[in-house]
Amino acid sequence: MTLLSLGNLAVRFHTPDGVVEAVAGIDLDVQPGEILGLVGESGSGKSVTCLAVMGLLEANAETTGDLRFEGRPITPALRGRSIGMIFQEPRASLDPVRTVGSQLGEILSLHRPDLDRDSRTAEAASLLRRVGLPGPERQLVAYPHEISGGMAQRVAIALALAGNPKLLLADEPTTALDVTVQAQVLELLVRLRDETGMAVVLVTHDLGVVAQYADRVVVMRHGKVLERARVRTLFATPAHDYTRELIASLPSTTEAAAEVPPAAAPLLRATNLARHFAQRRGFFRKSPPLRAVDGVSFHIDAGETLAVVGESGCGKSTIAMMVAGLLSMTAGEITFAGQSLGPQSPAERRALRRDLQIVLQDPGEALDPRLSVAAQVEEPLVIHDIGGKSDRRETVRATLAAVGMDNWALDRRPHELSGGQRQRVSLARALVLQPKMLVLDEPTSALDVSIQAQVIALLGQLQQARNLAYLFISHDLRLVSRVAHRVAVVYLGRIVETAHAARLFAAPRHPYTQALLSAVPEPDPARRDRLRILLPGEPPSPAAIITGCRFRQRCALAQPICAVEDPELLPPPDGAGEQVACHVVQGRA
Amino acid sequence: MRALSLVTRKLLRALLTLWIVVTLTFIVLRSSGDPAIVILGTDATPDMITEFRHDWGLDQPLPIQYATYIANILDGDFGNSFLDGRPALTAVSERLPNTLKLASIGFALMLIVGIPAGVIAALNRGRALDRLVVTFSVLGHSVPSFFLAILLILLLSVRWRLLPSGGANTPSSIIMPAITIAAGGAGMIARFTRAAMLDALHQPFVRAMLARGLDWPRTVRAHVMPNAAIPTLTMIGFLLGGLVAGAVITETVFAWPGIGRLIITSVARRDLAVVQCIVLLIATTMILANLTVDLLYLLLDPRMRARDKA
Repeated sequence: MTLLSLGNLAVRFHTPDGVVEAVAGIDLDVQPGEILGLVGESGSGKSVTCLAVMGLLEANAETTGDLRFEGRPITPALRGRSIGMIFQEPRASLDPVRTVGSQLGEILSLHRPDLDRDSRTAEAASLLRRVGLPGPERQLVAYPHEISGGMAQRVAIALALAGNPKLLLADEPTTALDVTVQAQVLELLVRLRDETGMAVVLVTHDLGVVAQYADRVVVMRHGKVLERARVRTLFATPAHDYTRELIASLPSTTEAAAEVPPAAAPLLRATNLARHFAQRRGFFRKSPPLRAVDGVSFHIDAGETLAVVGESGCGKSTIAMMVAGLLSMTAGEITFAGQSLGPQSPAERRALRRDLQIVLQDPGEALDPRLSVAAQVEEPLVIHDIGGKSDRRETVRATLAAVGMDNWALDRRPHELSGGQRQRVSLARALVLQPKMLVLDEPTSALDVSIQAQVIALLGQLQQARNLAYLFISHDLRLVSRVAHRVAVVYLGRIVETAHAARLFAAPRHPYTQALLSAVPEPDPARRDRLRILLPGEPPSPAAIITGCRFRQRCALAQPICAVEDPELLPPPDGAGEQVACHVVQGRA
Repeated sequence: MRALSLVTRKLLRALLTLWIVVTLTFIVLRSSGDPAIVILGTDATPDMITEFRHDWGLDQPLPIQYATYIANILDGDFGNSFLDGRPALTAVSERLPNTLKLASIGFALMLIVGIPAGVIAALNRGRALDRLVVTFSVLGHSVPSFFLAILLILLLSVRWRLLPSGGANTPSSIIMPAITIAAGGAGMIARFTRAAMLDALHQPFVRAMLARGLDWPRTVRAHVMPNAAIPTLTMIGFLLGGLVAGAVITETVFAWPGIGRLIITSVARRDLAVVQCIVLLIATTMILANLTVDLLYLLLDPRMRARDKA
């Protein structure tokens, strides 16, 4: 029997600006035990659909349609019992002032009134064990802020399992997580499905996730279902244009990476760059510093893109901030166009800034909400005192045109623009000074896939036209494979491997790079059965002091030498133009 | 063990603040003109001034004066009133119980009215009840206390003859001063509680709790309210610290025999020992209020515990 069936589901929001139809009459069904991928970009109505099933929409929402669970109309009584749900921000879905154990106990007392206090605790621990949390008894007394995002999502899954649901709605459950942790959580969902026969609706914007984990896919856009198909069929013969576009816009790490431009003199060279943060300035004790970046060296040639990739907390953004001169270095040296970027006079620093600009992750926050687009793009010219008023206006227009924005945008304020348009404006603001290099800190991670593809294409054109060098910071390996000439993989404040992109993606050498790449959900269901290296645990804190190799505790290849000696970043025995920091790869273990 | 040392650390910090206040009081009072001239007037003879200085130890070098001052304070000796020669502490402690009584009843009233009003407003956001609470809370803290006091006297004492207009002679005398003290605070607490509740209600975990099968009342009681309590506490701490200082006007209008009135008369008569004693007392109540809030924070918010532990 069909588990969940939605007939002509429509959701309208009554807002002060009128009625917004978020879901426009969709039909959807979920069969027992299947994993249904519900994909779409932001605003497609996929999350709203789930919330409508749960009856958890805001008061201004009007839901109509025939919603049935096992043939009977859906009631709020099903919440948490027959239908469970997990959310995008796992830590935010837990009460910050209550321990994990107390929250599990509360939900268990609801669904299992037969249990007494002790057996509830035992049951809570066993739930945590089922979702693969190490040391469940210890986790019971932890508060949400004391556990990582990945662990919090496991706790949220345990909370959902407490009611023994037949259906789990997972709303972007891994979007906020790192790729290796994402793989762990998604594997967990598949395992739980296999063990309990629970069906899973996997809501995601990521076609890669769908390709790797879903049985069936429903594609949504603007509140409508565009296409539904078995996963292999969808990727092999997408029926709808939009689906085709979506699949095409998604980079895969197997794609040929960009051509490497002929080597020129390095434009930027960083040597033994380090940044430590003091942990607590208390008077009573001093903790060891948090070593966010701990000795990294790299160079970037003119016209070249070096991608720095790694998971959250690895120090990649700190590297970007130091290169952009927004954060001082604890140690090391950066030279740019032959000049040292050390402590300089304000005038020198300003002159260097002209040639080295930064674009930040969230264009919504990086732009001043009160200034018009023209004023923001003009501002760098004013600061550097370039040109007269009319010259400047002309330059602003030309720069905006170069990033694909027409004159319409000049008088707009950021809130009137879409996310992609805002990022174009930030890009224009960085380009207006005609820099030689841009630091791009996760420039597209706040954007939808199709917009992301446009921005990436634009970055490519600009690089070609202006011989720009990019330092491209990203956590997204698929994206990096599309834009980078060379890649540096960072783990806990160190570069563990650098290589030309094509080489790195085809045959990663460092065990961490290998795991990272294998965790990437490839948008190709045919590659579902490839070996996936699941790293145990999560990256240790950069405050932790690890002797020897920093990766050794999670490394399958670790040898005795790895615990003693810190591996240096050296060219491997058989490789040219690449470097790897691993005793095993270097043949020393 | 850890929690204990944390509490000890907070206590030490409070003591340090208190010492700084005591020292600042000394510096301010010594640098604001010669008390001998202030007290005796400009037409006093040099002999009178010398004698006065000698009597009050003002002819000693400053470090000695400071040492004596600190030693005396530790001894509970805040000096004698320049005017009637009685110990300042006696003058203050006669009046203190009245002020404490008024402040604590006023404070209780603030909480009893303000918190539920804020919670109810947040849970009924945008409806008539919410607007009513918001209107009254704005009114509560925008009407100056002397105005409210006079209004109350006019209505309740003069026109309807329900309550005595001043003094502390009958048990019902405290009603109007307590309302006056509570009104502004209750308004602020209501608005703050409302904002904190709305903030907590919009946290993603609220939806998640409902998705896990908790019902709405339980979610509000067990998850929304404890989270909303944290920012509300900050506000309440400020109000608690300002209570004694804030009683000055109210006590004056209602002729309430507390330290509020004492400080007015003492300042007017340049009775430094008494002023000094009251300043220290008010500073102490603020420090104690801060300390209480800090400790309550540790109790309410595990993230605070973690931050202080690290």
